[in-house]
Order: sequence, then structure tokens, then C-alpha cells
Amino acid sequence: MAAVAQQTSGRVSAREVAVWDPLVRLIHWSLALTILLNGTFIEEESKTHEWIGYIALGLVGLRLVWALIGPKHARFSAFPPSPARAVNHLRAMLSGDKTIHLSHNPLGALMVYNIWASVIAIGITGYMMTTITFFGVDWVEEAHEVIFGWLLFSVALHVAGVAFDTWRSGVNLVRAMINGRKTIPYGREVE
Amino acid sequence: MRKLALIAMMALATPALAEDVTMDSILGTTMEEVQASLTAMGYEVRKAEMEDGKIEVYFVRDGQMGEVYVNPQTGAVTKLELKG
Amino acid sequence: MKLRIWPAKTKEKRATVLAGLILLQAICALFFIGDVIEDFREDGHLDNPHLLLESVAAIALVGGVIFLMIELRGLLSRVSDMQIGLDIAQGHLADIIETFFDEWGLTSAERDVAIMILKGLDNDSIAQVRKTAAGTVRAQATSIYSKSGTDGRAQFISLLIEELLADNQHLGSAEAALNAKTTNAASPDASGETT
Repeated sequence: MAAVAQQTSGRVSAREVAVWDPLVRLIHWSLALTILLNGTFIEEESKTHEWIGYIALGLVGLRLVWALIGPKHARFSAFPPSPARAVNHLRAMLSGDKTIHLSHNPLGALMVYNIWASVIAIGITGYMMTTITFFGVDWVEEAHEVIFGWLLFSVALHVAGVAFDTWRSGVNLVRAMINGRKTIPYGREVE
Repeated sequence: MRKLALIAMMALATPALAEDVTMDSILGTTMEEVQASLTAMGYEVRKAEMEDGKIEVYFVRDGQMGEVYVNPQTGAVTKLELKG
Repeated sequence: MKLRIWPAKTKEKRATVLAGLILLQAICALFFIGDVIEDFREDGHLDNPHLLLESVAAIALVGGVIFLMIELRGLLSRVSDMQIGLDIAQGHLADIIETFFDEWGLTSAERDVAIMILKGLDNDSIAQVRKTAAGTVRAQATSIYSKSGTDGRAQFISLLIEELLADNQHLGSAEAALNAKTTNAASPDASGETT
């Protein structure tokens, strides 16, 4: 039945699949905004800086809860942290496999966990700097700065990765993170 | 001359008085001097660095955290932040 | 293709609003939790009434966030079911079209062309997509009209629309299948997602 649908109605058209729900998208862009603000415009030693930092932590926390109780594509099970899978994905890409992942692909998954972990580490070290025990302590401040530098590098890599995967797979990933739907080119398998 | 005045001041200040750092404090013209002044006042110095041409020192005392910015030319406090 | 940030369908709009509310409530919860932590650090205990009120507010907000998340998940699952139903209905319509193509004895190339005509592509566009000459497409189209007993493009299209509208029995069975499929938990194979 579905095969017939593909043959006759799908011959020249791609198909749209709803992947990213509104909460995932909202959290994604809000987090990006917090990183942009705290990394550029907002003064480092200000209350605003602290608050944006805590909001970023809150956003990641919210996303983690959603990954436990949310819809299919948002859950951890849809993009498990697995270096082995990432390597397989890399091999598959190099051998020309065109399968499209609806949720984060294994490489994207690693990046996502990396970004979340970095934001958490930055937030925690930031909080530590407000406590008497760690106030003015060098390693905390340095860790905060170094991990933030790593985060910026990761974001640059993330943007490049999204651009590359959009080109390779033919699925507009940026638009998908705006309106929630991935437009799969005709004839592609999804997973 | 300045250094002598400072040393004299430090000699006069007794730890028991635990003098407070204020916007009128004269703390020193180098990082070492500022740190020494603060320590003499009973503060625990956590960190010192240069920021925007000023000497910045992080200190802690009696559960209170603070940052002080000192002008290296005059030795005077330009900004004082006390938290907690 | 339009870039739609604000969704057109009501349920999708509702889902977006819910998501926004979850975010706002979470930030409010963060604010109160922060206050509680700060006050706790200063006092060391949680018995003062101001602190108690803040704790209650924080807990209520967190509870609200979790509840709304569960609501949102339910809403999204209903939207997804509707989409699956639509896909199934479309699949059945494809069946019906296939039946007509069988009746008329269209070749597989002619079927492709016929579908594109139904989609509103003109001959030149069809030739581009199929990477053949415009003349080939014209010949195929002529054959299609002849086999279906129509005079040309407009009549061919309206013929199929009439047949689809008139043939309520087919659409009725599509509806029955739709109900059957949506009462079972939707599985990926039931939708149009796989080949």
C-alpha cells in the first residue's frame, strides 16, 4: 500500500516528516542566544552575565528532562551517545550511504552531548565562582574560560557540520530546526 | 616616600582592629603592596591581577567576598565591590 | 517553499504556545530555586516563612513544567496520528489512481507523465524532470489522453477529479482503514515513511 503511494504520488515530490517539536526548537535557539550574548555582548563581571548563565543551565536541564519524557525524536533513545555508531556513520558516509537520520545522526549526537556537557561545566564553574570556597580561586576561573573557548570551537564545528550534512543529505537541516519538518528527497531511506 | 608612609601605616594598624577597606583607602601602587595592605587589614587575598590598567584583587573575610580595583599611579581605590 | 515559523494548523499553534509556556515557567522556577539556594546559603536552615513560600512556589512551578510537558507530548502524539491518517488516505487515493491507469493500460512511463500532469507540471517541466525531450513527453501525453478518452490536459485532469469525487465507496473504505490504523498504536511502517 505504502509502496504504491511512493510510486505514483511520490515520484517527483519529496516527503515531509515532522521531526523537531516546538520545545526542542525553542530550547535550541534560546540556548544559542544565551551563548551568543554571554560570549560577546554581555559584560563578564555582571549580574546579567550570571543570570544568562543560569538560564543556559536551565535550558539544558529542561532539554534533558524532555529527552526522558518527550516525543520519539526528542528522546535519548533516538540519538544514543555512541562513539561506535559515530564511526560506523562516518564509514557509511564515506562509502556513499545516503540513509537519512530523522533525529540527530550519530555524529551529531556526539556534538549535542558535547555541547550540553560543556554548558553544564561552564555553568557549574560559574556558580562555583560565586561561592566563598572557590571565590578568586584560579583553576575555577581558568576552567570556566577554557571550557567556554572549547564551546565556541564546538559551535563553529557544529555549524560547519550542519552545513555539510545539509549538502550531503539534501535535507535542509536549518529549516528543519525552524519549522520542525525534514523534507526527505524522494527515494531515500530514513532511520 | 610613599613606601615609608605605607609601612608606617601598616605598623600602626593592629590586626585586632580589623580595619575595613573603603573607597577612601590607599592600598599601594603595586600588586604586592596592595595585597600586603589588605592582608594587614585581616583580609585573605585570593587573587590579584591587572584589569583595564587597574590592580584588581579578590579578597575574603568573615564570610564576605569582595573585589577591589586600585589605581597604580595614586594607590587609591577606584572601585570596591562587596558581596555576600 | 514557504518558511513557516508560525504554524497554520490550530493544534500545531497550540503546541508552540505550550512549549513557550513551559520555557517561561521553567525560567520562573529557576528564579525561585535560585532564591531558595541563596537564602539557604546565608541562613543554613529553611524555617523562615519567606523561604517557605519561595520553596512552595518553586515546587509548584517545577510541577507545572512537568505537567505541561506531559500535555505537550500528548498533543504532539495526536497531531502525529492525524498526519498518519492523512498519509493513509493519500495512499488510498494513490490506489484509486493506479486502478484507472490499469484500466487504461498506461505504460509505466505514461503513468509517470500522467501523475506529473495531475500535479500541474507542463510538458516542458516534465521533460526536464524525466530528462527526456519535450517531443517525447508530448507523444506520451497524447497517448494518455487517447487511452483515457479525453481531449487534452484540462479534460484529463477533470476526469480524474470527477472519478475520485464520485467514487465515494473507495473513499469510504479509506476512512475505515484510517480508523483501524489509528486505534492501533501508530508504527513507522503504517505511515508513508518507508518504501
